[in-house]
Amino acid sequence: MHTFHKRILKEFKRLQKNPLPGITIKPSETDPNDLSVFVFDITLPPDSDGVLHSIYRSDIYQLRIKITDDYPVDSPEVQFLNSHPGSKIPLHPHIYSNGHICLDLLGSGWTPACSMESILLSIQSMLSTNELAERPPDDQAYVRTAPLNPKKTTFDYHDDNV
Amino acid sequence: MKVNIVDWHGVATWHWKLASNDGKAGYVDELCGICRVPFDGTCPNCKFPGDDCPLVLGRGCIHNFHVHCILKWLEQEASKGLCPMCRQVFVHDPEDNPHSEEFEYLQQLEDGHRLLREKGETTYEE
Amino acid sequence: MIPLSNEIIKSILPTPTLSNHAYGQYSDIENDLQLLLNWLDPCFPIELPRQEQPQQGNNGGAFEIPTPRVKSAIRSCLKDEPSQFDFVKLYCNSMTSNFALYAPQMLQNLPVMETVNNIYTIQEYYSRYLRYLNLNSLASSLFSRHLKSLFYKYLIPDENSPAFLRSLTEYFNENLFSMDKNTELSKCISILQESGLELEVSSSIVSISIERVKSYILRTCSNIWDKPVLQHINQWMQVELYKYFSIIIKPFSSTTALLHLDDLIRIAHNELVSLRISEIFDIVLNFPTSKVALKELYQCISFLSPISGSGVNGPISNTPITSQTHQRQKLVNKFIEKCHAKLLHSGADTIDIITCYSSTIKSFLIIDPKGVLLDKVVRPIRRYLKTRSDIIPKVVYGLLNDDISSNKLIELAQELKKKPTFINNNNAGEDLDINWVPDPIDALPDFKKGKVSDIIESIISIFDSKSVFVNEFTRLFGEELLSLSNYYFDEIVQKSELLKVRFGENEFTTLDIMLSDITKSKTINETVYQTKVPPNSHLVYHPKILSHMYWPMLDKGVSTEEFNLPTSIQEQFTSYSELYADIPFGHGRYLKMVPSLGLAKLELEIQNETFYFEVCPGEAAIIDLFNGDGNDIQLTLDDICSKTGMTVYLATKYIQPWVKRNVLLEIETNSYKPNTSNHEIKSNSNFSEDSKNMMSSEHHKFARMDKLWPLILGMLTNLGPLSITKIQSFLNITIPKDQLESISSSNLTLKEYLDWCEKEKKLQLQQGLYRLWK
Repeated sequence: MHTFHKRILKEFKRLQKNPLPGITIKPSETDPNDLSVFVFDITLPPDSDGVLHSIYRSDIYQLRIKITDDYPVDSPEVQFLNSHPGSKIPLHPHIYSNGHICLDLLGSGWTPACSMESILLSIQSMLSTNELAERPPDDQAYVRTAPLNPKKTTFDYHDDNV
Repeated sequence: MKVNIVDWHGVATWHWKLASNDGKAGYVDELCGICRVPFDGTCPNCKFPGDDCPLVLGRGCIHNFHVHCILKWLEQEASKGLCPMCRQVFVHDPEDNPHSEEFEYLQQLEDGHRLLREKGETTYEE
Repeated sequence: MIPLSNEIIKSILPTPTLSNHAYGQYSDIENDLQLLLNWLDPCFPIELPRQEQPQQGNNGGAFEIPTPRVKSAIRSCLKDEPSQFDFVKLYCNSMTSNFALYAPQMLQNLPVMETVNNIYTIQEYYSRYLRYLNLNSLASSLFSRHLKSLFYKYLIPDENSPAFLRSLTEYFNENLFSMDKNTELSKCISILQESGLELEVSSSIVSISIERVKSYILRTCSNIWDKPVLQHINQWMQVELYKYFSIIIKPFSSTTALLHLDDLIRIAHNELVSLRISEIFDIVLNFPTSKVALKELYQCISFLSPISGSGVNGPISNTPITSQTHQRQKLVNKFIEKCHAKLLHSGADTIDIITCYSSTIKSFLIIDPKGVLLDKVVRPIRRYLKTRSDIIPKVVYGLLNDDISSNKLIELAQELKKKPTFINNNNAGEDLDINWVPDPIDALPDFKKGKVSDIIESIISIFDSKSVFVNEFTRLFGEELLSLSNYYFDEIVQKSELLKVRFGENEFTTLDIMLSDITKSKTINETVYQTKVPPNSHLVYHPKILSHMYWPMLDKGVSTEEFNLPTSIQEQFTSYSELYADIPFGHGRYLKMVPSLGLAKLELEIQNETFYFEVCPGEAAIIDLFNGDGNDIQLTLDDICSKTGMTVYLATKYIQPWVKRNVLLEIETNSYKPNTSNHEIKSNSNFSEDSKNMMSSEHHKFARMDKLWPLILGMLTNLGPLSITKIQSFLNITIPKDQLESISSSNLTLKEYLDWCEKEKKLQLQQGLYRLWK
């Protein structure tokens, strides 16, 4: 069993009980006895005026969070999935076409005070604030050489304003 | 009638004094930011709360952790010696904590990160 | 060969008989035939001769020895096989028509023996003629079969109401087992056999015998469960029953109808099994008295095999002997049916159900050591027990209480002390088990032998999780720990070690933490009192310092009761807290009082007499308000509430015990003052209302010291009355020093113990000497 099983279990139960708006946990992808892989459906909730202004409209994206052995002192392994039929990777200047995400929180910005919930919220807000439907400039080069595990990559943080 | 209390086998509970904004003790149910277990409980690796799984109070900041939990974090180079909660440099008060292996190790890690930082700054300045 | 039957004969109409041949053409053959016919006439013994006596003429059906002329006529008429067959057919037809005329009166509605004699007469009549006809074997067997079929037809004209068979059975029933009619019986049996009723006779005898065996078993074995019966049955079969058989049945012992003694015994065992099945529920309830019956049931039911000796067509193949599997199934069904009717309903006490559950396990393991039947019968009980809300506390109490007189489930406590016969070891893969054997064929798919055979394991496994039990243990132990008036809990440790074997070490983390809290509290208390407190200050406060997350009772309930303790205690707590923060154990920590938990020892001085009480803090807080040298302190409920900070509910709850003890008097509604007279005061120890708790805590207190009792008893028996110093010095000699220290480490002196023994009427104290109570 994972050393921090209790913490992970708490996080899992919280996400099940109090789902974040626009984010649903897919229990079928999660083994309750193992709790090492979680898959979420992410969509953008409408703004306060009830209208969806995002370029992503109501598209649903799948995000996978893999808990590492050293979680929570080590950040989890996070990426978008396109393996399921119909699922695609959101177009975003910080999201590569293989699903890898260039986000400070997932690397050097991680601390144990963060959680799956904070990751989900960050990524959701990263999408909702974006207006450019494009891939990172080095997407093709990156995807060609990228390791399977997004954590094995060191990203250049291109533009912190996006 | 005269009442004479011969013996009183009372019951009390112990609680950690926490470092907090007003320095007053009392956040009984606060959780360790790393393991998310109450301070008066144990870190994931300990069985007995209290002396076996002591608490460390941040001096620079107001955050508390099970000492075993903060050690795990500070062991990571990526932690840069910062408090997980507020990202200030994490230091504890050696005077305020018992002398034990755990706290000596904590001191070592804090010192280590300090050295790395100083070195980093020098490099940067160069 | 086509058997001769009515139908066939009737189909050939008009039926040709021998007389048809009497008037034909005159020839030698015709002449011979005529002679033969004359000799055979009238082809039926119309008059029934009492004895075989040669008579003149052919009137009256008497037999005549054939003359040489007749003999030669026989030879010429029946010279070859075809003519023999032809002859037999015609002869049979004559017989048939004669039977139709005479048989009803000779064979029907007569007493059995008369019928049998008539049969005999008819048989004899024909057999005499047959002797001279020199028929070949086929023709003669054709004839005798036809004869038998005629007997059968007239003896049992209606298969659905065989009057003759009924009277035959009656006759057998009356005479089979008496010595006086042996010869008659043998004759009767052999005649009937010859007349084609072999099977009927055999099965009648067998069914009578079975009835006999059945009634014998019912008579001698019903409700006899505590002594062996099998041996008696076997003996009776051999000595009493079979001796008749050996006499009667000899005549047909060469046939397939042979009735073996072994078969009879098997039938008897089968009957015993049936009896036991009908009694099974009561047998189980009477365990272990009924052990013998269960063992014999095992012997019978495990070795029930199909009847051997008699072939497939033997008489017993029709008897209701049932297969082993069938009987086992019946046993299970019967038990379950009775369980539902008698046990598994709301009227039954949970303890009785648990007791029965445990007897069921033990009983069925005797009947079927493989545990397959057990597995089936316990399922409904398990399902039902699970719905009983009080099963957990009842089982937990049963497991933990060693007192035979108060613990109805003492068996569980005893079982707990044994090594478990089954430990659920998930690590050892089943595939790797060298001793693996296939499950018995009638086992249910999820059958697990070990799981059903260990009583404690079996009860635990009723619930999906062990934690329901562990929580209850933890809660009980927690209460016990907090009611200690010291820091010693060896007994709890011992019990918890036993429980850990059964429930798994890891399940008891919380209890371990609780125990460690008490141990630490002891150290803290010693440290505080030894190093921090000035030697002559009068401090009585000895707290147990708890890790609040791990004590169930702190979660809810009592711990939420908030009120002020007596000022002196409050003050002592405050200074204790300060001292605590100063010692290493209290480093970085502070203490919070839980006022409602714990135990206070009080002395009340009323009219110069001292009364001793052990009460809960709430009661102590109340009575402390009435402390004063004068007797005039009078308080209303409101006063009490405001002084103690209690709610009205709490205050009332804690005043009541004092009123019951006559320490406080309710002088007017909700207004109280101390009792001024001391003779009505009920001190704790002899106070009946609370006595259960108090007595048990007293017993508990002296439990450790009770190890000394056998020694003291021995001393006083052998040496007569002794002073306390003598007793002490003897104990010092007899018990190793470290043991003695551990026994008396509970702050109790030998004096206190001896005084308690005196109070318990075990000892008497006279002139400074203790003696045994007489």
